[in-house]
Amino acid sequence: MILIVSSHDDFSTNEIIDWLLYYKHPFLRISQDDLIEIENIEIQNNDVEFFFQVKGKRFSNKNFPSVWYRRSWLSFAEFNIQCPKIKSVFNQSIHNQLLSEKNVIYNFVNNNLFRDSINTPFDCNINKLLVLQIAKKIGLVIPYTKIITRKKDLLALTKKYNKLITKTQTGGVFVGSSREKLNTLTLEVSEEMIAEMPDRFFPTLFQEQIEKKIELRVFFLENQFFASAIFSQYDKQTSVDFRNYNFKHPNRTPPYMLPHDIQEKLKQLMSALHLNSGSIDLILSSGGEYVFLEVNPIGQFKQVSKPCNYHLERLIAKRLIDKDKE
Amino acid sequence: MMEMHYKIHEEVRFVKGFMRAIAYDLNRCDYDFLPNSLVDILHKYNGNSLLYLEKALIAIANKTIAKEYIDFLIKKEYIFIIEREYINQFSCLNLEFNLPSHIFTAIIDIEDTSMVANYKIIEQLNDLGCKHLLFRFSNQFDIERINVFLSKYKTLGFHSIGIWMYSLPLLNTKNIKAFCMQNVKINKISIFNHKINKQNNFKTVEIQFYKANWTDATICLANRNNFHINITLFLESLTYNPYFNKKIYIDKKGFISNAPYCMIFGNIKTTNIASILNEDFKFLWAASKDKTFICKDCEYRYMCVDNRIPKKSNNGMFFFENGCNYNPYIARWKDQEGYVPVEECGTYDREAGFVPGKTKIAELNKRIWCEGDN
Ligand code: SF4
Repeated sequence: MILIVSSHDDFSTNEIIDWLLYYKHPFLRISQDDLIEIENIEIQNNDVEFFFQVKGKRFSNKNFPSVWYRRSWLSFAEFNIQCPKIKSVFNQSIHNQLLSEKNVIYNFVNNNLFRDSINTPFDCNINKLLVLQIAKKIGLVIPYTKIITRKKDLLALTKKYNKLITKTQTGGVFVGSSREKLNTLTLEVSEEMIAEMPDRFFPTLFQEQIEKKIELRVFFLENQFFASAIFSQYDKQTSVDFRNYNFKHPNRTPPYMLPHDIQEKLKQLMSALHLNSGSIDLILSSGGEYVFLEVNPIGQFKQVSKPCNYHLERLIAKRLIDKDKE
Repeated sequence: MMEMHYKIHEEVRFVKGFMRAIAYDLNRCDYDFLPNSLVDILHKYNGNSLLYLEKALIAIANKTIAKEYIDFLIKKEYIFIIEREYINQFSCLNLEFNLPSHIFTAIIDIEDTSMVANYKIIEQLNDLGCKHLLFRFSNQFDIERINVFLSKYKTLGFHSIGIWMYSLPLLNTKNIKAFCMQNVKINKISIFNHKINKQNNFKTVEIQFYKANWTDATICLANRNNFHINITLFLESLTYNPYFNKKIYIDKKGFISNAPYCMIFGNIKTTNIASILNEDFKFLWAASKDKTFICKDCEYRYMCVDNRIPKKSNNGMFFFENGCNYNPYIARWKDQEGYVPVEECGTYDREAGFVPGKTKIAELNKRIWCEGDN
């Protein structure tokens, strides 16, 4: 059987499940809302088996040779550890001990369940700076990158590079409420922005802005590449970050094939990062260089799949079915 | 300077008709008319030097027009220009059409809800991967009864639901709105036998009132105002008939067919739906416009959905018994000046298909397109 861990409203998951239903292949879909009750964990010679209940049924990890991690996380019922009512040093240290015990089991179960899965919950923790470091080491071109805390350093950098951009060191996320929104996508650094900055500020990532012919968004699945070229430079709204979608006048996003040597380097990178799937962003610079920007382990493959008609949803479903049969 | 090459954007498809071509802009959902000769040249030199394109265009027009065309094509992003070394990295769009559904759309006439429940019609459709339902309720059903009926199926995996119903005394804006709020999958409501024709949308739901009875609305010939350009419809139309493909119709007595007025394949009371989905049932699905006489010469053929029933001719092609509102041989709609029916443009035979009468068509086109412009 296939195990899918994803938030219950994830549209891409629904589409993959439609294919599993079409092929009549059994699966179990869970999210953080489904409490998992561990019955026991047995460590055998070179194997591990554990039994658990979820959604009113009993399973073993051995039921799931094929696992896909998409979103969300596993919630364990037993680990609902209450804070001690009487706050004493003793109670507090017992509480902390329980939390540590919990973490050991949590990690162990996660490690085993997602051993051969497509993506794992740990993938989200990759360090973007480390990724850049490894990419560079492998021989990929990356933009000049500097993390700065002093305005004078930033000013010095603006002298060296024509245009700078800044972005978060985590992933791009939408911070805010219905009233206030903070856009954390990539921003071009403007003179006004610098003028408003204090002399010392929170460590912030700056990169040279690469002049581009096209942007490339690549979906990577087990050493296969599915790329789409994004013609964003014609459009002011999307030219710095194509995720600033222009819904009225969407960018052209035709299918694209990465050159062989870039594919090889990206395979090395993904392998060094222990990622078997993810979305990779690159730029084909106006100078003709493929510049690596970042990798998102849990990327949105729909934006590549739909316009290029790659049928990635069916491909992932078939891959999960094959893994289940292996 | 490096020699620049041009390439047609894969999301733009140039479709030639008898008289003219259409640029289908699949990701911006729009279209433009172009001369067939321009499309021939664009295809011929696709991926080659921009200079070739320019030269070829000058040969059919003149320098100014050639430049105007190229500017237009670039401005609309129908083509792009890049150094030669990158041209081959741009791969072709995969033209395969595929859906994870055995049945995608179902039209169900409802008079007797117990039949729907007893024979588990909705559950069967859900198991077949059906995503779009159109319920056509008889005049016994007011909005409250429809609501009760729909409430049983809320948890199933349908994407959208359309409703046809009668305008009955207790129907008002307030209860229609409440009904839409309670049934979030509804995307269209058509209300028949109403006092007036009007459209009153609520949120994402299109609500259409008709004075007519609903049987009157079942014939829908090709209409250029209803055409949609999108990648799904385009790809589906390349291989299938987009009206019939993966569609099923169950009438109020439980008879199963491809669509209203089509051949009956069984009754829900004695047959389950999956068992009738054989090659005979799927016959109409394959009646693509490319395999249909006249339509195959029409530039609208991958955006046009019409519900006429195709008939098979002996040579593997299909034909329609009723004519269309459009004549692709002179590029004229019925409501346009100079229109004549297709039959007057050549000889039409159900086996041999339509053989355009070259002289006759040339004459008609000269009259419409040259003299008319003066
Ligand atoms: S000729 Fe065929 S494809 Fe063209 S508009 Fe008429 S029905 Fe549609």
